[in-house]
Amino acid sequence: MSTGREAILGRIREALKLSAPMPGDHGPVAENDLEHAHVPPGAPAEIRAWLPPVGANYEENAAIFARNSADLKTAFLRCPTRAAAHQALQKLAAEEKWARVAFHQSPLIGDAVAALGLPALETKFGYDVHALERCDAGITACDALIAQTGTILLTATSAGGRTLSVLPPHHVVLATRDQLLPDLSSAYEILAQKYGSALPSFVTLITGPSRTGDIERILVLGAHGPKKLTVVLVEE
Amino acid sequence: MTGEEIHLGQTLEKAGIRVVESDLGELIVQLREEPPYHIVFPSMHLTRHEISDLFQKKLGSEPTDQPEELTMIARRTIRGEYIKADMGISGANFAVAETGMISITENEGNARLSTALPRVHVAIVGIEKIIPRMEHLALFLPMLATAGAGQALTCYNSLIGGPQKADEVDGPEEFHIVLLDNGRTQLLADPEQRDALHCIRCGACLNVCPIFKNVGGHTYGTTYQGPIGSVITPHLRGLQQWKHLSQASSLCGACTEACPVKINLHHHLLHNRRNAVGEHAPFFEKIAMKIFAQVATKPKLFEILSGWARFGEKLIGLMRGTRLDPLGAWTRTRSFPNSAPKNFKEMWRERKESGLGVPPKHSPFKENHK
Repeated sequence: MSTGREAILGRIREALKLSAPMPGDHGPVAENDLEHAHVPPGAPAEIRAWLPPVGANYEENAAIFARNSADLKTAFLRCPTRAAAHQALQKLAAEEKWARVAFHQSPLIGDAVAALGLPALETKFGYDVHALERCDAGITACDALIAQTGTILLTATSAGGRTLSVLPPHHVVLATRDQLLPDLSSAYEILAQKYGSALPSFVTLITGPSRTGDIERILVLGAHGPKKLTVVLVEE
Repeated sequence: MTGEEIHLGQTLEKAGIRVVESDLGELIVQLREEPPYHIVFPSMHLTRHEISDLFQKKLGSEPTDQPEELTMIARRTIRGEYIKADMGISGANFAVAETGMISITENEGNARLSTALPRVHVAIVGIEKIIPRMEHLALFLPMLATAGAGQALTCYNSLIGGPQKADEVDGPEEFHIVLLDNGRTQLLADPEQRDALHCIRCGACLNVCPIFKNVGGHTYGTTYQGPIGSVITPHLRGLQQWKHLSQASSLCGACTEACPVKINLHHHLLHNRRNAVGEHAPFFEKIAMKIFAQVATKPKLFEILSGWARFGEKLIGLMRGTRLDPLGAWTRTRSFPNSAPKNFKEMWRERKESGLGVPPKHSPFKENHK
């Protein structure tokens, strides 16, 4: 096994003895100039310069998140209190005639699911995937909301595993005011702050409900993942 | 893509293992037993009616002309497979050195399901996919989404760093990353074309290419189609066998202009042409060219042989489509033009005999030159 690795690494070392121009420089090949082999800095400030502008404060970012959600067909509900969020969920459950839901234990989620008063599956170690598949909605917490792209950041730890947020046909995310971030760069900063070197085995950025354009490039929602995505922002 | 590059699906099927493509477009081309047409949109050459006919025949579904319903048929078909499968196989769009995680970009959710539910997850990753740090994804993910499908961010960008951890509720028991070279270090060793390894497989160069738009993805006969495929396939699979791809170019430079990572694509097509000429051509090709040079410079011989060719053509016509066809390897994927019923010299002779072809004695052009 290590022989293949050694052979590849040997070929890479050999190949890199010849230097190449920097990416995008289409001029003649530089002479043996190894300085070009350095790692690009990629500081958040440089990256931010390339990406769409974000808001200066919470209200502006919430408005950007709302606008992106509308484009993505994500339902975005702003609720002033937890009680209002519970009511919003009850209304959703009634409209869509949910029979059972799936959830995971977290301060925000437990009460909300209890308030629904529906049969509920908790994704604990060894839960039944077939039972999860029969649930009408998966209700999870998250790590952050990203205004710039209308994205939800969650991990296996923050959102009850890998499957809860992708298998049921409707994914409902509950988030708090302090979780709204301006951009992707700040999402990676939050990940590093929150988990350090003990990152969960699964981290995902969710931008809208599952979709495909594979048939005549026509947009269809709900390809293999959730057909609907609802973000409930508790603003207390 | 890396799976297709090493023919993993076919190899596993030969070994008696059932392989199910979970991406909608990939599933469609798998059911048709053909390769993907485009690196981002594998089934873009098919209409909804063709897909409906295919699903009726292969999946026993009801006919429909609604893309929504066709998508739901695929959704129902694949749902159970994620739970039943023993192994989920994925590629990766990026691999992050800092944390040892792979990053998978997708819109449908099939990659999330096939890396969450089966007991084992294997990711086959080209060695050029490695980026230094997590924060670099903040630039690469939007770049891929915008160049690939005109989205601000693709629906799911998932990072996977291992199997299920002790404090996690689900995920595979085993996770394996296979780093694939398969000719990439050879491309790295060519400083002139090394930048082709920066490719993020967004497909932007295919979408703007006048050649791709005319001949379509299947004509290339490669895993990677379009300008980037024409540039890298000779490095991955042999220059002499794949040099013809670099000839199929108008050198308009639309690909270089569209490329988000600024690969010098249309100049690399020229580099491939130059390198192919500089190398020793295969023996058969050299002999064929020598013979052609002899024939083409001897008018009598050319006339006799072209007469034979017209006769031979009729014989070959009878064998077309059978294994005996000596032109079979060519005509399977291209057309072979028939020779004209009469060549120029024959026509000239005939016109002269009938008095039609005699040029006027006082040509106005000749007058002007005086």
